[in-house]
Amino acid sequence: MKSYYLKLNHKISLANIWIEGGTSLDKKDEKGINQILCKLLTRGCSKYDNYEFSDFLDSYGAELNFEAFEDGISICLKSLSEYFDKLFPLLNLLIEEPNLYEKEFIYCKKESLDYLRKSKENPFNIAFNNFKKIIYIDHPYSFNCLGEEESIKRIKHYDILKEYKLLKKRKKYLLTNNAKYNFLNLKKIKPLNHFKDVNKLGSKLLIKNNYIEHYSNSKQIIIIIGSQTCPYNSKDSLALKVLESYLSYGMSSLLFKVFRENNGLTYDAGVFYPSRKFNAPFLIYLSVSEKNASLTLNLLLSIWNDLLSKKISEDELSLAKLKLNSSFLHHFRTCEDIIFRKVRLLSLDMDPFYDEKAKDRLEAISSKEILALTKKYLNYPCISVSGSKHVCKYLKKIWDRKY
Amino acid sequence: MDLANVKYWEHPSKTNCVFVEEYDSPLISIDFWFKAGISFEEKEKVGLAHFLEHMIFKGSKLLKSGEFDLRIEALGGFSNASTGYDDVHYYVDIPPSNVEEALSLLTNLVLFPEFNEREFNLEKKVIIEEILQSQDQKDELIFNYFLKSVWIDHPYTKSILGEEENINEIELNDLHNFHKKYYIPINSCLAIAGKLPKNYLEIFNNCELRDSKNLFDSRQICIVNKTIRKGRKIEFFKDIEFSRIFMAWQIPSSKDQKNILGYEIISSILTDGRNSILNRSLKEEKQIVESIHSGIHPGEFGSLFIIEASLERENLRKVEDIISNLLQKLLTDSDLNNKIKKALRIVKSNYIFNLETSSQLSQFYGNHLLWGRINPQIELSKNFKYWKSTENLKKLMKSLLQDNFTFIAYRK
Repeated sequence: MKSYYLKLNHKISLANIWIEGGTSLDKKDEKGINQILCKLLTRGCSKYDNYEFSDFLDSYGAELNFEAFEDGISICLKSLSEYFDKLFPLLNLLIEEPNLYEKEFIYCKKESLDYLRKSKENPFNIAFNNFKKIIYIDHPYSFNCLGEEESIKRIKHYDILKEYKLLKKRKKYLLTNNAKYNFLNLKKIKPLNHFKDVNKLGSKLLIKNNYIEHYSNSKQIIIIIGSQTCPYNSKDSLALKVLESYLSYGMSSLLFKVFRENNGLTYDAGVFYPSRKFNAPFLIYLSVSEKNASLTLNLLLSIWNDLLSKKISEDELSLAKLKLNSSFLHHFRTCEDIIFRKVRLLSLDMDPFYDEKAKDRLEAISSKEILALTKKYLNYPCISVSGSKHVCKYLKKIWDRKY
Repeated sequence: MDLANVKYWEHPSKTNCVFVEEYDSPLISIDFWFKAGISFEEKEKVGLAHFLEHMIFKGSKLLKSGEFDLRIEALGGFSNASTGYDDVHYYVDIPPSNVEEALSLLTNLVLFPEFNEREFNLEKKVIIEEILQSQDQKDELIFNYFLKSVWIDHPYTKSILGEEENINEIELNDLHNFHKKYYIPINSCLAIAGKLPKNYLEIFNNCELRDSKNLFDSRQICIVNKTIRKGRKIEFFKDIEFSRIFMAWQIPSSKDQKNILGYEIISSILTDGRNSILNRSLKEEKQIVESIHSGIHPGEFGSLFIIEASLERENLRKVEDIISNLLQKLLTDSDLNNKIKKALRIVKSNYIFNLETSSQLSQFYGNHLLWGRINPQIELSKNFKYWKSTENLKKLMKSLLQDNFTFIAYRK
């Protein structure tokens, strides 16, 4: 495991481990296995059973947060600094000597099924999972991170033991703000090359359908429009972040002004453009009442069309860059957020101080470059809608006229 | 608890201020608080406090609509606001070099708003969209139904956003009147946290705040002696995957911080971690709940202690009985001393974890100052010592053996 140290707040100590390969490594008939494995790792190790392990953490008021993402598993230990040295050895134990008992596996499997079921209470989750299906087709990003019901039911204890053997071989990164362990100072590592212009899913997307719908009893219609773009360590990603900022950062953003301030159509409209190892989605989402749905979709399509045909003005571009640069300060404020961000950048083979150094590179980004990127990535968007059947059908007609 | 260096000060306008020095913070948080939450709305004006919060951002005597956001964001800042049951606050996070300008923009926006009919009608539509969107958040939807049912004739029965029909009835003049009545110095405070500039007192002394002469004193508003219902209530909900159960007990208001902390410690014993009493029994061993949580719903005019579970409909009665049974047994638990010790560490750690950033600090100190609680960190340390005593905590636990109100959300 590559282990690093970064000096931060002294009252709270943290260590975050990132294990490469998350839910995107789930095999086709084992969707959900890495989610289960992630939970299972935290349910006892070495001489500690599940309750003893949990009791040990609680007795020092510590937190252990864990989650399986598309690209990796994150496990984060957090406590007051005075207790940290007693707890820190647990992190290594839970990766090297987890108990992985069958009864705990059964528990985790049930928990996964329950989570999956509960997530369906929010129609946005359904619309988003549908969206991923059409833009990623068979790629692992097309599947729900929580897994799929039938797959989860099929997973056996020995499947988990096999997956654990694979997990042990995966690359791992650890970053802590506690100085006691003599880990390499993150500030002293040689900056890595951030930019790799590799479209790892292949540059040609074979999209079969660009429209998907889900009928719900909601009084609102959810609309998600977007497409695949590039990996986070691509040279294009920073310019797309500028575009994200222009569209959605703060109350001066385009989406806020168009949908909320000028037309009173939506309460919340935003962009989702996450950091991903492979091609990240770039999407605009919003929800709107039925009576305003068609006007909203028409406006959204007009914005999308402008993105593909018009350059952002110089003033807007400057503001978007400024907002993006200050967003690094606003978004990563707690030790936990900072450590998570930096370990994630390490796992992407990127400079962990990418954010701090962004200002100079931002200056070089032009409106022309952004326009070229929108043409490159956003030319063939897909749409996912959720709401009442008759409104979905009407929206489909509008969509079909355009795409 | 050593949280930060804190200094209290009164602006010439009589507005109370608190300054919290946090040297490591890259941003300064300015948090402007008012006793102007939904508890202060008139009965027929539900949603007014939140509507006003939206409209405040529509410009002021010096700022055109949208200008505040643009200028704050161009200064590298971020702003937002939040309306609660008792109070409302407007905040800006800003790099230290721009604090003076941000303060001037924020105070002008909040204290001297100018509303126009067009903006008012557009924002009405936005709020109705927000109400509709919140109905898709099932946890929030069910919780609002629970609050509506648990209190008798209390402002906390209302939803913060209001209902569509309430919003349609609100008039522009209602916003003016509410603002004039409640957004006054005696009713407000400013909290500032972060790496403060050397001349911060001068900066704050020079900022324009409203005069307090001849204005209504909202302390005249008094909501007392309100109680909660007892017994059970069932509601049916479409489109939920799991049923929900809420068990509620009335506990002292936020004014009584000592008891609030005591209940936080009890809550930790009940549901923090896999070994906690309810989690271990109901989720880990019997596996008859999807999730179980407990906590305080604090308010300046009354608080609730709540145990909440998400579960299959057929297990509702069983889970309710087990919870009651385990609460009975807690008082005679032979391991109670250890459980308290562990809970004290968890709760203390949580306080420190949640007071790390300048915005968390300005929110904590601002809210306490607004309601007259000075140096809450000193009080907190004293209270932690008090609750180390098992006997003290046992007395508090007994209150959970009294009759409660149970709300059931059935999956249709």
